[in-house]
Amino acid sequence: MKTLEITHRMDKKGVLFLKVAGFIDASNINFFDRELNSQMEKGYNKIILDCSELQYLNSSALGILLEAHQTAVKQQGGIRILNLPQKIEKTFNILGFNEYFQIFSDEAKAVQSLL
Amino acid sequence: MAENSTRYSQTKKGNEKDSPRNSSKYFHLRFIVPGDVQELAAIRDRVEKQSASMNLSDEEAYQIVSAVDETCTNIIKHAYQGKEGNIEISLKVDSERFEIEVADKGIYFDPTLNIPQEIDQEKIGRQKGGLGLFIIKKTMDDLNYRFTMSGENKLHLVKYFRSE
Repeated sequence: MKTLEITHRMDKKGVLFLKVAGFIDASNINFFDRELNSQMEKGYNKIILDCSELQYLNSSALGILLEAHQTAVKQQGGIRILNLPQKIEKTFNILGFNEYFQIFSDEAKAVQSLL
Repeated sequence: MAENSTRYSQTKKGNEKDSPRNSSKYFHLRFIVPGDVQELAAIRDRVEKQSASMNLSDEEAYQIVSAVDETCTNIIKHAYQGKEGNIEISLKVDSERFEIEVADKGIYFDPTLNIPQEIDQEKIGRQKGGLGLFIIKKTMDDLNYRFTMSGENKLHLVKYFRSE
């Protein structure tokens, strides 16, 4: 059984969708880190992280996301969070991560926010 | 040598009246797992199943699961530092609180000394620790560490149930 599956999809407007399905913890954090950063190294800096099938993410994943977002912002891009499960979003909010990330449930609006 | 199997004991207790929770579901569960990142999913699964039996909200259950995951990850990284060793997890629930005690026999590691007060987004990077502890501090009501006479690190976490 795969613990984490990341699929890519490129929007016509140049926004990269990364769908993360499963969980992100210390056992697979390096895979997540590599996948996200390899896309950014290819020059993709407008990224939507589709979390609709995300069950869990740990603090290291949040740190990696925040760092990647900051890098993307410096390049006139950014990372947006799409369809974050409510239980995870509550924790996001408690930690104050909603100040750093825009969270969307509407894909078109998430794309629009990056254009 | 780390154990491959998990030791498990559970005691039901309580018949208190006027409890907001179903007292037949009070429990004290203790289990021991190898300190290995490959075990984290099974640990979360077990804690989640126990939380689900307590009518907690999804958010509360997620926060408890997250606190246990972050604590165990810290033990594997900082107390055992890649060496083999076991983690003992104790979950105790009554009408008022969900208590968690996580113990290990790694090197002395007091996580409460390293808790950041705020997220410093300039300093947060993949190499920097501390965010896991920040999550535990923000989501749990009590957080206490002790180093025992027998050389164990013990972290005690409590989440009080919201009144209904």
